[in-house]
Amino acid sequence: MMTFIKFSTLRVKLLSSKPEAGADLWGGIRVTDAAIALAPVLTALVCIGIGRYGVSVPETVRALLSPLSGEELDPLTMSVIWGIRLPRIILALLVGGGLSVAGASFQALFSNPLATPDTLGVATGASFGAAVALLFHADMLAVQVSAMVCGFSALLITTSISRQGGNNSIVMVVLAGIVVSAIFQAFLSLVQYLANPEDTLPTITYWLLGSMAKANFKSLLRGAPFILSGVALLFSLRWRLNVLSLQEDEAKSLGINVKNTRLAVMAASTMVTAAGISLCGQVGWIGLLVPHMSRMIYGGDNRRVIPASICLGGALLVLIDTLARGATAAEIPVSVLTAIIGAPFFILLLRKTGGARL
Amino acid sequence: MIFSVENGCFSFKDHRVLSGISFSVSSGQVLSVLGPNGVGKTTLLRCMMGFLKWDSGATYIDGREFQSMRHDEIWKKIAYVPQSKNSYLSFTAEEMVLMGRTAHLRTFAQPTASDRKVALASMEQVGISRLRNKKCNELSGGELQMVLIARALSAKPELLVLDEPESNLDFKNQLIVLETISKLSKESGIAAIVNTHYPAHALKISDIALILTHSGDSFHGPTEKIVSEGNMCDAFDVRVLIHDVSFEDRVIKSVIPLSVTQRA
Repeated sequence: MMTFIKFSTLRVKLLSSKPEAGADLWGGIRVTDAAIALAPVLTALVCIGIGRYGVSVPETVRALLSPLSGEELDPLTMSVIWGIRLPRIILALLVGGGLSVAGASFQALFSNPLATPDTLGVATGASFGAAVALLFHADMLAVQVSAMVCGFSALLITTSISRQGGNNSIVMVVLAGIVVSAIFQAFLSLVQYLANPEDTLPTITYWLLGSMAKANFKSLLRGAPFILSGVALLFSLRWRLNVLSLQEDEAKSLGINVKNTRLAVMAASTMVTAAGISLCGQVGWIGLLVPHMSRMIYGGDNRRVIPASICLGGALLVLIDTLARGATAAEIPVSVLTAIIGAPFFILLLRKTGGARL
Repeated sequence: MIFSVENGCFSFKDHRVLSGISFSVSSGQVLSVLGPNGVGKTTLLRCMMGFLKWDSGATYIDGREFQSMRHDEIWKKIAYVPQSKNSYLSFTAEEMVLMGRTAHLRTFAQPTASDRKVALASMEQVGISRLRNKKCNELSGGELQMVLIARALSAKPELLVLDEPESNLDFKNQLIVLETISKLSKESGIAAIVNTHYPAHALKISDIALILTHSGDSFHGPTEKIVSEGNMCDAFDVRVLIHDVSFEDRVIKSVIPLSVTQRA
């Protein structure tokens, strides 16, 4: 808990340090940049030791380095750190960073501050896809693929509904997203209704609430490549994301292939979202909250918003998940916590800065 | 370079918007496109730059057909300055201008220090270096227009296409924009195609003019001949007086609208 408070004061300090407009991207590294870049690593190091079985930071570092240093440590410590907490922390880093970068990319793609995996219906679509696969006891890979296909279909439906005369208006995108979400939510309920209450229903329901508790290296190996490759693609397209956020004619006139670039961004963001959802259920709010935080610090330039979203998103979800497993004796579902923490924090950010515009 | 359109035709649904449009512009020339509201000036620009497909006819750059050229090939030669609508984008002016370099970058590349140098130089060229760190959504209409022109220039184009660059601007900013276009064509040899509502502006900056009319006819030729009292009446249904005013050692043409003519 203490670390959480410490971390959030750091955050507030970062936010209140006025974004020096146009501060040199080519110049030296600024304090804010360094703090944001280190946030995921530091948060992970601290959070990995927090829990019923507490481990101090130096001991955590020693445990993590023990395969290299060959140092003999308490077997219980080793199994808690390596077997239980490390995969969970890695999962939180991947999913938090992934959802945030997907949110930031969707916002740029639709030049819409409200476009996120949740509002566009991608998250619900992917959840439905994953639930269907779970219904048939499919293996992890099939769950991933099914989530991706349904998430991408949801996105295509949303964009085609909201497209009017070549432009997606902000309101239409959000409305279309609500409609598409509702449809997939209904299908999802249907899947739950059809599921066997003895085995598949609890699996689906528990997974839908969002939990990192079942994280292990085996499932990580199935999901991480999708998240990492999607994030890598979005990261390398970050300059083009700036151009994509302009009007279509303008973007074309700057010499990019708008159609292909859009498709690539849509596919990558959906892949990241769907893989995250398949691994740990629907974790809301992160994809909206974190890109906004990044934009408030850095302004509109995706060359900085994208890396900042990756780092802040990873760190934030690690914190929230630590809270989920550490705050009470029983575990609180992550999605419940992201909403309880995310929504008021989001209001605070909006009130304080008037909202980061794109 | 020579940019030309040959026999361009375009219909929107059943309505013939453009028919048999032909013109060509070469380095250092300014072409202004005149016509009443809704006649298809913006449509003409969008067709000739490939945003809309000609029904028949084609656009050529140095004799090569537009359709056969690659995106980045085209947009290293042509730069487009859209109408400045103050949108909700919070890029800084410098970031916006830097986007003009995109056609010169590979897909996954980021702008380098030398791209930035070009961007800053084009801001300098149009006199907006002071706006560098301002956000685009905090700029005035005139400032944003200059930012968009600087963005176009940072692509190092041979042709600038400007869509009503001086509309929505006040007196002074109109002059600044017009003089910038003149200066670029005279000093840097950049060709320009400018949509405008104002015959006087066409007379001030352009060598050739193209007038579009609702009947689908178009007139094309040297500005001084084309912007005539008769043609103005045909295109705009407005009686005008075109009048030479001597000022110091120059003769300035002024266009004075007199009355609206109602024709059958």
